[in-house]
Amino acid sequence: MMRDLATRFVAEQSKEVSEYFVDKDVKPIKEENVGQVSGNVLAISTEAPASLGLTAPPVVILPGPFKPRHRFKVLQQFEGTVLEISGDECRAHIRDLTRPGFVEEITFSIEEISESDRELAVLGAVFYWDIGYQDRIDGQRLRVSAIRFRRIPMWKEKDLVSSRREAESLSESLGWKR
Amino acid sequence: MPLIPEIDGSSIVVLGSFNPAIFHPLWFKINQLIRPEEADSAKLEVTHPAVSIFSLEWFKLQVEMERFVVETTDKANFGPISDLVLGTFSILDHTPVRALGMNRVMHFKMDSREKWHAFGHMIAPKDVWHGIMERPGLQSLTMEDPRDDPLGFTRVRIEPSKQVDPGIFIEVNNHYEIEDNNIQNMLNILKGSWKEVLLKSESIANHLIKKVE
Repeated sequence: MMRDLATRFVAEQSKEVSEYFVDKDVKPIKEENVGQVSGNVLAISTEAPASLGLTAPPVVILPGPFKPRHRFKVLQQFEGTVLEISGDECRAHIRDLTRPGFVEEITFSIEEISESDRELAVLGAVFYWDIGYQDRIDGQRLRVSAIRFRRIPMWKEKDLVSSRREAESLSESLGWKR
Repeated sequence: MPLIPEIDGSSIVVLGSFNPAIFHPLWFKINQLIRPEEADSAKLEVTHPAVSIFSLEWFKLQVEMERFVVETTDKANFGPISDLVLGTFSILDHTPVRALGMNRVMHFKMDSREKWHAFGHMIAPKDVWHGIMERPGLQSLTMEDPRDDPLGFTRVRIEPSKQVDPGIFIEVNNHYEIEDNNIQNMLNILKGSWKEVLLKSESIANHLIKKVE
């Protein structure tokens, strides 16, 4: 009888678990592997549990472990705006984020842009351009130049209406007339 | 010249009411928030009504019913993760949110163990402990600077680094309470303050470490 109950219980538990989609590689989160990369959690802690109410509960908690397969060491970082696309070339304005105040106009080949980002490369589009070293998990260091276009949803009608209203109200408060 | 951390990460944490199950790479792909190839190669860890976790080469996303977290460990992706959050909640624009955290974590390598100790003594003088403890050493120190407008605080946590030896770990949590739980207010803060907050976090770290340079 007891064995039957235990078997049924295990079957029920397995059924519930199988309804989840959990990657087989996922290990249960233990205290020692929280924050392994960016965080700084002690391997073993004997602090009082938060449930005792002795410490204020964290309002914003930093996330758990994240192990990218490579590390990127930024040497130079630019933010660019597309001025013109002409044939195979893209003309853009760039600001050096590592040297405030440095602005330059450059022309580069469309080939430099990832294929899936090319449809985003239109007049006025903003992109990030990073130059640096990529340290792969196998120890190989590569010098990398990477362009990534910003992906922000298109303006919605209500956003345009609200911006127009805000502009009109600002214009009125300044006493400007059309 | 600002000091360059050995490890430099950032994260954006939003507290509110979420439906974790929709936060799937496919959803981000359909909404053009990530590249199609990235969605196809995403490492999916959990997709469940209560929690959703997946990662790409450049970020990790974890969404629970009351918490949305996106983090990166590459400085090159600080801008893109902010775009990801702006894009996500511009689409899910009826989500009630109550708090926003813009965080930066840095691990600095110290030139020598002497400087590492000097930093610890500077930030937490040991005199007060002498006579009651044998070898007092700093394990963790948290300093909070409240802010009235917008309501919140900047909280700095300093510890010996567990990743870099000898190194110092500095985490800056820039916390904002969201007025009226209105997502537009949250988006405005993120849009207007992200770069500034990251720079300020770096300045705090530089200010402290340079004291022992």
